[in-house]
Amino acid sequence: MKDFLKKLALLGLVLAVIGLLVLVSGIVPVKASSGHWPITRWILGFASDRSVAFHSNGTEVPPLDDPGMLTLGAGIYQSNCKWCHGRPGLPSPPVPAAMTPAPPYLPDVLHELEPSEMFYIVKHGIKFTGMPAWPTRQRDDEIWPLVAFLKQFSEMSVAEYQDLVHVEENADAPEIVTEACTVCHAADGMGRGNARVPILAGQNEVYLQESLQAFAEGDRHSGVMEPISARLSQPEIVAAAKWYAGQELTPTDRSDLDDEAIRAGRDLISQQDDTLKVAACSECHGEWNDPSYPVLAGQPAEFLNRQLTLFRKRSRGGAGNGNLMHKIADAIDEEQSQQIASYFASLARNPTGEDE
Amino acid sequence: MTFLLLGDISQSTLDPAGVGAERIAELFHWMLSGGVLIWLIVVGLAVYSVTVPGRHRPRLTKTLVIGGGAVFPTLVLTSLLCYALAMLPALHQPAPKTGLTIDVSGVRWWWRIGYRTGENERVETANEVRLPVDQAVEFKLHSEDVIHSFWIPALGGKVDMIPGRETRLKLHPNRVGRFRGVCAEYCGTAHAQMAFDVIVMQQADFDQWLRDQQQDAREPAGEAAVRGRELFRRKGCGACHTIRGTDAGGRVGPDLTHFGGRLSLGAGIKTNDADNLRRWISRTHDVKPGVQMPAFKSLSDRELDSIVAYLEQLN
Repeated sequence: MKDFLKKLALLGLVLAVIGLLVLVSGIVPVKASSGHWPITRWILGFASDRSVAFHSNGTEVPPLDDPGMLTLGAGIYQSNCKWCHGRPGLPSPPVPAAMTPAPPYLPDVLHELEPSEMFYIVKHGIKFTGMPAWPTRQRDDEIWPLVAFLKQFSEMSVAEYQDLVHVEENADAPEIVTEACTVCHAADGMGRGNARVPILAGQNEVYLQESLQAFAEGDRHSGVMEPISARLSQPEIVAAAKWYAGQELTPTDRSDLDDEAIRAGRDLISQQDDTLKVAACSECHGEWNDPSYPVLAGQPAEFLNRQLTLFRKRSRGGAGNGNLMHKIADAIDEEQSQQIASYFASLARNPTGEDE
Repeated sequence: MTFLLLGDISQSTLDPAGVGAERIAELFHWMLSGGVLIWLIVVGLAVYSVTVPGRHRPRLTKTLVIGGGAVFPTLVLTSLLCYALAMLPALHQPAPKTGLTIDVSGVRWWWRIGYRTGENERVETANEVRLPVDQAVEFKLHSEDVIHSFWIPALGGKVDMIPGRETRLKLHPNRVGRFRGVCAEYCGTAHAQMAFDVIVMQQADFDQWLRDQQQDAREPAGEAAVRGRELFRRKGCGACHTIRGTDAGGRVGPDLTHFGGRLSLGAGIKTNDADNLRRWISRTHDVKPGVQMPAFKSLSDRELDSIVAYLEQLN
């Protein structure tokens, strides 16, 4: 027995020395061109599937068929994902196909994934593959529209996808706007009528500029806006801000808003009764707006409400003024937040601020 | 550091500047003397009992133990109690109705102060109480959030401020000077930085001051201050602060109508000068951690200078 253990130890030592020699000599190729052995590929794939299934357990999936989820998801896909995973109905693009492992052809794999697993992969990425984590850990709300889109990806035709991401071009718009912004915000800045997307038309130019800057520097969080803004040059930021600030806010149909909520919101924003003991919204977001504060009148209620939620969770940075909102958001409960958002959204019916 | 800056501002009951504090100091000295006397006798007897050798006479021992250990302390303490209780009615008596009445509200972590100037008229200020000398003043105390306690040690006793209730306190300053008041009931993060200035003045000076307080804020003079007023409005400062005579009408934070004339800022924690005010506005939470006001970090130097110029002029 003792003899056997001795031999085992010797064997271990010899193997370790050989292993070390192989490692130091550098004869093992790390080239991507040869791909993995089938067994390596299988083990890595299996391990990754198991891990994703295990860790995505218990994730609560929000309703994925809400209006606007699909178009926003398509816009995000177009902006962040198509470079490696290609577009629906078309084969994988050639450059990423030469990676090891290559990004999968999505229709092959998506049908095996639960929405919570898709969410997990998009949020956290996968180690030792080219799949990056979402650029920020703070914005789960951006990932779900993408999941909603991915659910339909496999059945989508080229034409259907084109319909989703197609926006009318405006020849007057700066090139950078057409290239980087319009797929979600549209050339006229009205956000393609999507309640999850802010309306940029008529927004303060200084605010738009500072926001792009904040996204670029990671002071405001978004997996979509951070990468786009980081690519922009200073003149491009200025041009984009100027363009959208110069667009006119066109009245949007807000008939779906609850009149009761709007009335309650109007009382809340002026803080006449002092109940919340916080600054009144109207003092900074009203008629006398500092150019570095955003105009809220006419923004979609859903978008505004989400910003308040993000402020409450401290997931909403900003260009140096974001901290002004923290105590305010803390003081407002979810219902009040919805009421305030409804009131500002309703102002689109009549942008002067006078109620009808 | 704070003490150096505050110089000779008294915050001691034993350096009284008011009728109440005088009585309290007097009581303190009597109690101290009584206590020392009891201590000397009890400890003296104990020392005697262990140091004198031999058998002690039982009779004398009994007399000394009962007399020195029980009868004497009871007599001294009872007379001190009677003396103290006899003091209470006068201290507790409200100030004459014709005199000055001041409302003070504790708010985390500052003081809202209102001088009743007429039947339904009030002039509001913050973190600074000015009083005429040799006049009894009635304080009506409130709280807008948690329990605070209003205490100006040099002038008198302290009284809790309880949410939903009105408590009261009479103070009768009899010496001109600058004193410091504090919150004497732990009320949260910045409790230790919830103080205020008390300035006792000659009647005529006080009357003049109160008349000035009733005026609207003065118009800014100079380009920077004019710009400051515009910025004050645009940046939304008026959402929390009132400056009478302008659009700013917020009630969340202190009234700033005559801010420039106040001796300190941040609720009695820093001398009110341009440097400290700059720091207060731009790095609020470094100066006073936990404070409700957000730091206006994004103001440019020029903007900050303008706002400071405007506010410092508001005397």
